Amino acid sequence: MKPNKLPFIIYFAVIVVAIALFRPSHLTTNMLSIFEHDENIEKLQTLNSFENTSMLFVTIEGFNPKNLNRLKEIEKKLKKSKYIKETKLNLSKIEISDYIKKNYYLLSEFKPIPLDNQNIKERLTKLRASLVDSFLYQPIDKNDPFKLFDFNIFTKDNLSKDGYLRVGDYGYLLTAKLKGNATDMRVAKEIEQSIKDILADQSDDVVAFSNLFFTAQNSTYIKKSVNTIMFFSFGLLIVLFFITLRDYKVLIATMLTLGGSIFVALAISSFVFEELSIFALAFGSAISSISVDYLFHNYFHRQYLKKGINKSIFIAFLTTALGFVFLQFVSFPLIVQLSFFALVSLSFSYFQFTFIYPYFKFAPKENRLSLKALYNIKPFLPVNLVFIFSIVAIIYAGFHIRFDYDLKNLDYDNQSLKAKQAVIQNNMPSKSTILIEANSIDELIEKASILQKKIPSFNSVAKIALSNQEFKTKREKLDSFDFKKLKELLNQNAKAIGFKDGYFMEAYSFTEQIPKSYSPDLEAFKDMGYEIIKRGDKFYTIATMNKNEKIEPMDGVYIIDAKELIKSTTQNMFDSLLLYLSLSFVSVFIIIAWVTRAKTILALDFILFPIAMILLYLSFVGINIMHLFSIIIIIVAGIDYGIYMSSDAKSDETKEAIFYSLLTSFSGFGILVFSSIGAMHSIGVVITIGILAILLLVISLKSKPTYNQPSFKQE
Amino acid sequence: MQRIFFILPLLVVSLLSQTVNFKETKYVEALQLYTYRDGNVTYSDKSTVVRYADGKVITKRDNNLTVQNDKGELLTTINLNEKPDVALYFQLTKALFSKNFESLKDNFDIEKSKNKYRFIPKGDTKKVIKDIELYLNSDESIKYFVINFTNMDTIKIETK
Repeated sequence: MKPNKLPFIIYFAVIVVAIALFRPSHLTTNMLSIFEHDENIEKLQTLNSFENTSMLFVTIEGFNPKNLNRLKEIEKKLKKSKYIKETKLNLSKIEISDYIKKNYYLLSEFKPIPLDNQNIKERLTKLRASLVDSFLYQPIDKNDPFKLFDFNIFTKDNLSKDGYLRVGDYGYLLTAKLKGNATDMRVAKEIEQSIKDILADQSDDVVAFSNLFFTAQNSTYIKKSVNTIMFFSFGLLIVLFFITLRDYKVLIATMLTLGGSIFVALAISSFVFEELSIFALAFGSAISSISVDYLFHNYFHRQYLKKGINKSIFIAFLTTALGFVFLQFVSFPLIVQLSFFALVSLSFSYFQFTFIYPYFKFAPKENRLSLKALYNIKPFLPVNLVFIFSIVAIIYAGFHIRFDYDLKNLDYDNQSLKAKQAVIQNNMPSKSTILIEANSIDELIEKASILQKKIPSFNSVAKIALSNQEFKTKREKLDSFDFKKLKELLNQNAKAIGFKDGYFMEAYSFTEQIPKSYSPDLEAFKDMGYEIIKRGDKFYTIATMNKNEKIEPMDGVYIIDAKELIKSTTQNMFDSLLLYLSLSFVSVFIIIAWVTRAKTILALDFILFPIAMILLYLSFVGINIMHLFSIIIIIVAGIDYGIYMSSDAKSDETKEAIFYSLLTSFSGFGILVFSSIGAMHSIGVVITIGILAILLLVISLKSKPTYNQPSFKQE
Repeated sequence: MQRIFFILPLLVVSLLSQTVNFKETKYVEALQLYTYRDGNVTYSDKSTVVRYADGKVITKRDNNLTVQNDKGELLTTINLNEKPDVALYFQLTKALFSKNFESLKDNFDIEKSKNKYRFIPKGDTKKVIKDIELYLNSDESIKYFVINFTNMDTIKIETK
């Protein structure tokens, strides 16, 4: 076997292994998968598991018969859709589930009365008077004339007008339960399209909103935006390589290398991680693109025409890789995933740029665009001053920066949908969501029941369910009451007071039919909007209450405020992240100090100055999780450039290599600064500031005369 | 359970913002007794006001029902959200008087003959209401309607 073929054999072997290991199903767009799986995230995931959470709201401004009829027409069409479970508009539509019919008297509040003749006489007299004199028609319930059983699950909310649902003073409201999870992108798109078709013949005044539309529309917008950005990005790269470098072979080879590295990293990561976040892929790819500096450094130093490897590049690669190894221990899934991804990708890129590219003997073209004007600028920034400024700026930013924990800010700013959401939300009573957790269904109902009794606006499964203890108590109460005697006294006195003879013959006979056993019917509960689910070995249900009401701390009862939960989790993750980032930094610092010796400060400037500039900017707008990860990308680039610059700062080749690396990074990811999607803009802005900061250093940083360190001597 | 639909206020909701005089005849099977009442009702977009000859005034505004005596003193206030049966009755009578039967179709089948409509209850409504008959004058205005309950009670409302 000829030695020069070995790298190609390894290359293809790696690709084959990667294809075999690739697990596309492990890729997830679930935002929650990027967080440490702690109890907060577990709660949010539990909340996402409830089916009843996807609702469609349709309304038209103004209470008039025309609008009402239009909503009725829409309702008819919605009912035919396979994605609609149940609609609600006309509240007078009477549908009582078999479960309620069966357990009506058990679920009712039972109010016993004293069983003496005088009391019964008085009650019958009052009953007669109410039939004759009352302004309200009060027909007698022959089964329960004294109203000993009271069942009322109706809400006190001001949600109806003329027997129809309404949304505040805006208009009548039609609601529909959607069959589909709000986080499933494909299903969300299908449902949105189907609803769009149903509403196609309606004018624009129909407001139709569902949280699920955010999933559907935003993913479409994001895809569209990514396509546009990719188009520009690709265009820029072509301009870069064709017009400036005038070397199409390098373009093709680089694309193949980066594409291959990203695929191998993706395949192996998808095999290693059961849930691989799409963000790990995005950031991992961005970090991978940084590896293009290995190519440019070799290329401009004409390393591919020489024998051996460039030691600066090797050290830069090793330093970065070591940093990522430390990040493997962070309890932050996205960091772990993307650092693993980056490790694999950078390693494979390094392997190709170092061992395969010499075979092609790439070298810069003589007719490439001259960057002389750029190198001729006289450096004016003192190394030490930049270092001190960076440290001071980082400390200043550290005190002034605030974290933006709202994940919604990372999404596409969907103004038209937000306006529709506002119509519904601003006109509906503000509610808190409460997640109740228990080891058994019975314990769950018991907890809900305790809260139901304490909090007037509490709306939970306890309205229609009984715990074992409640059933037992209710049965004992019923069994201890003498219904036979009541019936006797009733019939004895009724005729004398004026009631028709035998009118109450069947009164309270139903009490013999009240069930002697009780079991919760989860399907019936779900149909009535009170879902109970099992996750792991625990049972959960959701309840709501008015925002202004307080809840006493209780085991297994959580008020769900997504923003707060994510904030708390992110804060915990940051502690771990800071620890391991510090370890990474120390290791990187040691290597840099060891290899760059007297030029350590200069090398560190390339890491600290971009960070300082980015943090200064972020101290004005707030830092989010995407900014944070993008900073890591810039650090990776800074490590490489710092090592190159300190090894041979005066070399025009090094500057040219860095310039093209920066331009490639900007084409690939800095361009995202123009995106209107929060997450992408955040990445773009950090990378652009970072790139500009590094470019400023490359052009204007004063440097001491070059040391001819043996370890950095170009071979 | 049937009680849910039983407490029906004897209210009549008329058309538009006009005042309609009515006579209400109620038969109570439990007492084998007829009661009679006269009154008028004023219906507008925002409210419904029923005035009985004995001075009692019932006002429905949004989802609240208030009852005042002949001296204007407030006797009681009912939140209709807690009493969907009462709210339903308002809707029922309003629909009958306005001859806008669309909202009744969920709970009733409707039969029409020459000058008469018959509403046959569906589903659980059957347990409370036997049927409703509505008669028209030759000019198509409402002559009277009768609600027959399954407990043999009846309510007849005639316009005057």
